Amino acid sequence: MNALEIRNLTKNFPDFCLEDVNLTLPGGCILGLVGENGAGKSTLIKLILDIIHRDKGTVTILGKDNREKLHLTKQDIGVVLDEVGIPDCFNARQVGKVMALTYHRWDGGYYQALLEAFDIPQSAPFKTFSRGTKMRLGIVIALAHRPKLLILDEATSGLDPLVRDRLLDLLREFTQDEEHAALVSSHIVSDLEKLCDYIAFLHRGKLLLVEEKDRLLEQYGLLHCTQEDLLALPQEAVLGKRVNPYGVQALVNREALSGLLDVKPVGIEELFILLTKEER
Amino acid sequence: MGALLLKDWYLIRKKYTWIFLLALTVSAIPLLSETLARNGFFLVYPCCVGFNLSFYLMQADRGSRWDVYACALPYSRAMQISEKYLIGLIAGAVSVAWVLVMQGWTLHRFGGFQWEAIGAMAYFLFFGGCLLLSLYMPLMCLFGVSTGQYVFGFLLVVLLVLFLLLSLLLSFALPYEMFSETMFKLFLPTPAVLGLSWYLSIRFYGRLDLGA
Repeated sequence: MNALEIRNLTKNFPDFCLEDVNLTLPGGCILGLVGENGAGKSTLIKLILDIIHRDKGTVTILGKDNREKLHLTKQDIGVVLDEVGIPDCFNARQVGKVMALTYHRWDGGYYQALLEAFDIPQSAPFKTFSRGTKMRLGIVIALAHRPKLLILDEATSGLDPLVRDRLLDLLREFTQDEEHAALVSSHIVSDLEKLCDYIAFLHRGKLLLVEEKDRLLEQYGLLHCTQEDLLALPQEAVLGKRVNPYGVQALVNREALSGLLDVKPVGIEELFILLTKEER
Repeated sequence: MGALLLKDWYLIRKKYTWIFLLALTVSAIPLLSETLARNGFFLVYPCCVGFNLSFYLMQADRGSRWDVYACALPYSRAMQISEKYLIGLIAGAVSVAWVLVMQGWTLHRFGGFQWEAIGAMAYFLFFGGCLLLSLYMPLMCLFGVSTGQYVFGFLLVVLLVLFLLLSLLLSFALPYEMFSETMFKLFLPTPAVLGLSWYLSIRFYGRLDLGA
């Protein structure tokens, strides 16, 4: 069963529009959502959770439409939003007591273990936490009821490299189970590159592509050449370019090129930047 | 709903204890003199604080972004709103009960204690408070907390002025007994208004885009 299916999802705001998003997240996989600030990543996540209501399309979470008794489906979803909405005066112990009454499968022992593993103070109020510690608490809450689907919105931002690494390990462990899946949006593309099975590029409210990460890295490459050489290439093969004093760095689709050219591998971050760069 | 009640209980204990202490102090002021005992403010203010508690809690939820986070947790929107009504009603009932105890004491002290007066006060204070709750909740749910609080403030002033004008008009036009009876009848539909307000609040909140 797919953990998440989004079909033709559309939402119009006066100054922004999320258009016709189609996305599938199979069970046992991690999908990374990449996009610049304001691309619509948080909006997409809020639409999935029906925090913002869609204008068009369908969203199916764990086999159920997100408008049908979603609060019951949310028992199986762990969420970290870009701002963890815990009241300032609460401490981690009080949060644990509230969540124990919230989730049927809340595991107090696991919560305690995660608090210790992520080094979160238990009796200090939330307002004294740094952004990183707030995020860590959000992540612990999202994991402690043993969800089937994790939705993390910019959850790695503000975390130091050690904690980020520990979180990536936890996520890998989490998706070992075929019934588990995760949707992760992040600015730190290197994390997503290490972690994800699928990558989705969101740019100005439009989904540019969704593809298996390995296939993406296989299909696209970087070609260093001169402007004249670039013009000689088939136009459908060139997806983006960057001009520098030494020539041109072009993002190319390997399948549309002859095998003779020296196309180098491209990273996800570079791929996204070149795909969204305006000077094609 | 237990989780939401516990969360709000923690919030009240940490953030709003002083408001209740202030309300308790205000309700005890009439004990000081007979002139103060005739001032209705000491009756009405503590009850308003009680019935307004959900208003403060919704503001706090907005401030901490709990309102958005709660929608990512397994609480339905209807449950979130119903819990706020329940909190408002419980806090209002406690405030009214406290005020009545203080008023009973005051009346007893100055020699004017009557059970009928206490009963009438209970009726008007509790139903009046319920009307207050019935007014602000749908507005907060329709416009969102940020805008809703100003719309509520404006409407409250307008309605209070209208109510004062109406009661002044009635007190001149009607003999005392008829005036009391008319005022009594005016508050009778309160439970229906409260029910309608609860229904509308759930509908409005269900349609609200949070954190957009």
